[in-house]
Amino acid sequence: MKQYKKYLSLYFKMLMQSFKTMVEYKGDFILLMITTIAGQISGLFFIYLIYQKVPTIAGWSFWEIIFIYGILYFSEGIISFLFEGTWLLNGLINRGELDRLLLRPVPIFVQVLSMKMNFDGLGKIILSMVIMFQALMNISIQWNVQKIIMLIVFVVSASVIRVCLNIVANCSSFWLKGSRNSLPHMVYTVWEFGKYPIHIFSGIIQLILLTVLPYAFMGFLPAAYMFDKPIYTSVALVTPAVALAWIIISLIVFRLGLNKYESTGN
Amino acid sequence: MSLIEVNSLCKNYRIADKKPGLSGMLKHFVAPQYHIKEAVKDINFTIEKGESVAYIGANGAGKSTTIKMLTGILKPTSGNICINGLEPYKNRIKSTKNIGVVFGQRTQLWWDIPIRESFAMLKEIYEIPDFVYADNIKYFGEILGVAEFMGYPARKLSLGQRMRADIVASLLHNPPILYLDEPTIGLDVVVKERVCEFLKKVNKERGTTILLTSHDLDDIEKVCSRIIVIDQGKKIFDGDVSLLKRTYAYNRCIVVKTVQNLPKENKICSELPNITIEKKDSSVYEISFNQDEYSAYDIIQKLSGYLQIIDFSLQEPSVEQVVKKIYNGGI
Repeated sequence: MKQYKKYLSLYFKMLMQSFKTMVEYKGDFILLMITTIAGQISGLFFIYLIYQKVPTIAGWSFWEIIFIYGILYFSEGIISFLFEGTWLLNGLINRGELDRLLLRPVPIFVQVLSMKMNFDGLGKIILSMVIMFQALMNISIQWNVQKIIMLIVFVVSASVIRVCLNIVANCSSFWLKGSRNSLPHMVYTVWEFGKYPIHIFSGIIQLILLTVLPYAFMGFLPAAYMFDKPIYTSVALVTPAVALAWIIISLIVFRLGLNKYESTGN
Repeated sequence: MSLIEVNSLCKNYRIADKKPGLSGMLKHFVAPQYHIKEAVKDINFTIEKGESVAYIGANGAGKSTTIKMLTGILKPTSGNICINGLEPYKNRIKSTKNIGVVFGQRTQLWWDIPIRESFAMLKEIYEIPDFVYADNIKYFGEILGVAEFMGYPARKLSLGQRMRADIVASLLHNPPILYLDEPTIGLDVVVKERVCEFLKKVNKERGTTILLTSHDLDDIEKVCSRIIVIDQGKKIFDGDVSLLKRTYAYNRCIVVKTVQNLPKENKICSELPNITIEKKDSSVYEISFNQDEYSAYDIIQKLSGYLQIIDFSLQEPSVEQVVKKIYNGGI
């Protein structure tokens, strides 16, 4: 236990170093902030435009969709703020830079995850909370204690699932080894599907969103529970279990990948 | 029990056989073919506490692969390694605390943050007590002159500065074992000298066991007392540096360019016994001699009495030559 506490504190210390690195390149930092904000505003505007033409999608109103968007966006913020290092894995493997990490008495997992911090993630987290709050204010919900607790559980689980999915997708580099790996980006892009009620898609896509690429758990299912939708409300309750399963999957995949690591010649 | 024990260590890599061109690439994509490269074949050795050992071989002989297995980066294909009672690949986290590692080719420091902060991070990572840390920074920093660039990030350092910073970083946690993979590669003579002096001092004063790879015989002599030579993944020599030198790396070589052919070859040979003269080109000669018997000056002086020298160069014995001689000598 003491050991884990030490790793956690090391994780944040290393993350702080990455933050210092980032601020060192000021121009890059400011540009990143601007593009993120612009990107997100246009995303929201797109949903708004759709609802100008169609008032409901498969029985879901504008603000309900905005809430799904909010949860998904929150998990994205968590990734860029705390776990951006995952995206560096491919380069570390391809260039053999994992060597350096393997020489330090800290789990590789901790070292990789803390290698980079995107401060715009914090902006995303704040913005997403505003979005969720706005959405909840505009929807009439039967509030009770259970729902408040579940809201927190859902938001946390959604983030955990997304972080783990991202880790697993990036771990593919251990096997692919190329200088570029497009698989994680493909997995990332699927989040576009996660923004809408999944029953508007065909069966196979629904199945994918509930299993291999569990984006349904990162917004839609929690929302279905919160708004007492007729279908999928009970499925939503397994979300924390799915989160736990994905933590285990990502740890196993990472360990298997590390066994495949071959370094580079020099 | 020895500090480092290596028993019948082997490492195979799987190399993809790709035919050239786009069609080759596509073929490989559909039906990949591989062959096995044996980088390290059945290597055995033990190293006692306080030894300083050089691990030499030509490029691609398997030096780095061995070091990477010893440090726990790579998993051996077969055989076993025991370092300070631990198997590095299996007990990675525990065993990394026992070792310091310097790779000449790449830095262990954080690229974008000042050296001072990199050191402070290492203090946290290795849980180095305050007084040990302060003492080491002072002791190592002074000898290697690191203080002058403590505020710079690694990316802004020159190669020599970076290497010195890397060496200090590797020793901050007082590891009983220090591995260095090509620590002097690309360094100028002055820095090289400084690094070698330092390593010798650390080995003597702190009792740190040193294992370094290099293909510069000069460094090795300065730092190490024992030498292990490997070639194509196999150990071909293991013993005293002086023994190796006496037996195999005896000769230096002067290459001389003249205007005319060398006259009276026999006469020169009789005046300077034990040298060999080999004609390389119409007016280029290679003269090998024992460095304990003659100085380069003796040779040049004698030669210039007979002919007009336009140019000459002095060649130190290289690892490749030593390897060749070991084969010819039949060890």
